[in-house]
Amino acid sequence: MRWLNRIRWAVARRRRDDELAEELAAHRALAQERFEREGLPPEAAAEAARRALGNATLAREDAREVWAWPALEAWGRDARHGVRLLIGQPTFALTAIITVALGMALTTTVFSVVDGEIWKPLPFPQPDRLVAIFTTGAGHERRASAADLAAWRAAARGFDEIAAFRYSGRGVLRAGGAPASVLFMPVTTNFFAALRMVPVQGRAFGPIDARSGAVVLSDAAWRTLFDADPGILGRRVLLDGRAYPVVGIAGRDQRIEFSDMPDLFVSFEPDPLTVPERDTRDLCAFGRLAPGATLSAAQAQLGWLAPLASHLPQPSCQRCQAPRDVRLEDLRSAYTGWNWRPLLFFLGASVFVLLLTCGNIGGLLVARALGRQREFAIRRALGAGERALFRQLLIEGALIAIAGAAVGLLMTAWGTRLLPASLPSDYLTRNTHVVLDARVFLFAFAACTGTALVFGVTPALLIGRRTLQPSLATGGRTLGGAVVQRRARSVLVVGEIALALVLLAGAGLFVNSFVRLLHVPLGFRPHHRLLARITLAGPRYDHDEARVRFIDDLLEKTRALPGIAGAAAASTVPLGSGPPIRFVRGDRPRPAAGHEPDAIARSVTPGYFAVLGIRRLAGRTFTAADRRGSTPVAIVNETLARTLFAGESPVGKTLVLLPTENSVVRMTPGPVQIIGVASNVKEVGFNEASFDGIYLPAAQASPSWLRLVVRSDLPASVLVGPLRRALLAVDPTLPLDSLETMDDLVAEALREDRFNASLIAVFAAFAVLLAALGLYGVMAWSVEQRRQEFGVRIALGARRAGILSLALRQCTRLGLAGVAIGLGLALVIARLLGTALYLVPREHDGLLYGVTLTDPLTLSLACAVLLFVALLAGLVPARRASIVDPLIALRAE
Amino acid sequence: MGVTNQAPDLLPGTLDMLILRALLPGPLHGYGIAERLRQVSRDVLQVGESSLYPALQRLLLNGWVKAAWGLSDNNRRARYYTLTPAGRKHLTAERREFQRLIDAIQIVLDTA
Repeated sequence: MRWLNRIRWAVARRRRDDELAEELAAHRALAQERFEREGLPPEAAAEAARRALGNATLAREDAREVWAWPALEAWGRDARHGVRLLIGQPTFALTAIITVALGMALTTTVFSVVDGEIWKPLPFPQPDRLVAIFTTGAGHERRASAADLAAWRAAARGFDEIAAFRYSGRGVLRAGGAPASVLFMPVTTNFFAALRMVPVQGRAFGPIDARSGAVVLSDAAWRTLFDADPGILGRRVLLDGRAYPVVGIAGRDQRIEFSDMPDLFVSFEPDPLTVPERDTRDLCAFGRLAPGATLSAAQAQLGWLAPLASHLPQPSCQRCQAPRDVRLEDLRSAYTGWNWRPLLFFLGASVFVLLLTCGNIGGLLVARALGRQREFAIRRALGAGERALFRQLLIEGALIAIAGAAVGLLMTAWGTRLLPASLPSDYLTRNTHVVLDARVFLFAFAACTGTALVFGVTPALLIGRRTLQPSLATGGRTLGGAVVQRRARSVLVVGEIALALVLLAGAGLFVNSFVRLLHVPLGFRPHHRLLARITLAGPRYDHDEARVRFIDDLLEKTRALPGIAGAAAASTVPLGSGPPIRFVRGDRPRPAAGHEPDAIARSVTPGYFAVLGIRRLAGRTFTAADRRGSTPVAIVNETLARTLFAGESPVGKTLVLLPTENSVVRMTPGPVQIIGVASNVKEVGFNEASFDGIYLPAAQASPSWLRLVVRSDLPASVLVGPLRRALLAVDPTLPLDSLETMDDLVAEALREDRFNASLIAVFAAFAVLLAALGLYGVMAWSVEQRRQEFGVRIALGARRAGILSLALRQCTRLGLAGVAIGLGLALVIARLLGTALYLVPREHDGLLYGVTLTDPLTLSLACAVLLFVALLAGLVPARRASIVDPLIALRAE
Repeated sequence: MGVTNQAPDLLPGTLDMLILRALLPGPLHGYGIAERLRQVSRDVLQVGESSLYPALQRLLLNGWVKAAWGLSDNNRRARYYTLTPAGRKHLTAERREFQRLIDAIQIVLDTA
């Protein structure tokens, strides 16, 4: 009641005030009437009434204070005063606000990207109830088999739904028009039910789709493949030769985020009774916990089920042993956020930049506060308390922070549109629209509050209480203030230089690492090589002979084209990795199951090594004689030769390939003879620990993915037409997925490193600029303060060069102190980061390559650059000091 | 008559109670309340503007009185205060509390 009234009255404050005034006037009039009735003349009566009732203004104030928020009003008054002050100093205000805005925008933009990738919940109702279900035990597999899924579904009580999906694959979609290559994701019929995601048009999958299968299109596919025709609902489309009805179309904003959004979803139900499917662990299972069920209880229950599976008939493949246990994990953290290392690193760097802006503005505010000692003295003389002055400083800091945050948010709106577009394609996994949502606003608010406090409190603390209570007698020209100010601002500037050094050293490391990456040998020649991707799909290509014949025909047609210097085909190319296959040495005892070595397998045609310029180190390459029916052969790469055949020559030795599930290279398990050794190529990126690799001839292990590599001096735009016609001549139903140069592939592989280096370079440039501005401010002010001193010195015969070096010495001292502290900070951070930024095989990728975090060259270069900038920033004020006219300086005394 | 702005030292909170009691017979304006208190207390309690009006604002804020503009006896616009049911209840409670306090003081004065 009381609070409600307060708020109501605060709103109608002006009216209440008027009412009170009128009421008091009425009171007085009534009192005057009484005195008149008692016989006093009117004037004397008025006087008596006034005297009887005392100080009317005080009464009014006191009465008002009962209901008004005096504190609030004071804050409001100070805020208005602050705004007037800022408007009165537009240059200061603009500089401060833009600096804060840039710092805020940088931090908030990076936060919005990081949040969208790592912390934001998945876009489904009650996303925290979704859990991924992993099997543990046998081999390295984490996925589930049809048998697992059936057992869990039959017995688990803690779940509303248990669903599964397979990783997306490429397929050929035909729907009347030209065939198109699409990315499709096989999902169980309760996939959408478990997510509680309902396609905007049509319906989600249901049990009815279990037998015949159905398709739900993504918005993008619906627009590009079907021109956004709503009539497609209910029609049938052909995917890899099988017909499915289209039952639903997802909306533009409907994404699954825990995996790449496919062009279409295809429903399936894993069959726990058919033998290869029963045991094949290729399902990514997840479930929605039932209301009230906890993750640990559900995990215990599924774990109890797991050993039961071992009582099933013997699994059909060796790597498909029953799981020993089951592990549940939040769906979001299980499938997203693997790129948190670079993201958090950059968030940290941006917070450094924000701190720097705080230091910068803090320095400006200290200077301003001390310049206003006279004003403070007057305010104190007029009765302002210490708290009031403190409050005023806080409010002025807050004003700058709020204005900066507002401008910064506008810049963020722009930045969040700009940044994702310039990000390398694989940088973000969730492909969320980076948007300014409530979470970003909350972050901005927190950052703004933090900076406001820093701005407001720093000057007050640094200046100290004593200076906030100066006497008017010193006339605002106090030496004491100057000393305090110099100390306060020096502390801030040294801090700024230290932070800038850390960022600059970081940027140096990234640039250094990037330059080293550019010189990494790739193991193949990318120039003048073109790459075409073709998907061999459909029942026609189920048989090896058909695929081999297709490849032979295609290569023959391609080689006949004008301007082609060579052509070869392979399942995958360098920088494109490949499926791992397991094997053992034929002449050695077999290691324990699950401990066999594996290598990246690649199926290639005889010309592959020549066309890509991959060196042969020993033995021979594949020839047309290595065909189906002849001795199975293989070529190994340098790393495999070294690790498995240390000291011996692998040529002539035998490897036994073990059965491995993979859909890329269809090889026959069994012995193969090693006929040669090829040099290493980069398999996934420039910064990688070298992989073991095995090449198999396409004629003996046919590829189901197909990459056509063409050597030609002609540009891709000229070749795309003839290549497409060649493909059409061989098989008119197959689409040419894409045509790119190998140079593009190489550039793409470097894009992430290039982006990282440029981003941190931008941060560092901004940081150095801020530090230089801060130093310039301190130096300019200090020279201004010592003007008379310089004048006297010059009058007494000091040389101008001497004055210059005197002024520069101060600047050098600050620079050296900052650099020293920054160096220490950088070393501490390097210690804390440890190997976090480096490639650790089988753990995480590297952000840096070939440089240590304490690289002496980079660190000393950063120190040198920063000292140079510091001197430069000090040079202008120092020069001003050296040209002080002694006459003018002394006359001003 | 002595001219004072303040009522003689009142126990804290008693002014609010006295105002509420003065309003018990019916609505009064601010001047009326001051006059009533003066007359009834035989000129002992002279409540000045500077304590009357803050007290009235306090009572309004707590919802113990309501205010409405009306006309005084001699056709002057004045703000009339009325006791609300909550104010009536508060007054009863306050009086009981006050009585207890007075009794206690009396006992101490008589016996200690």
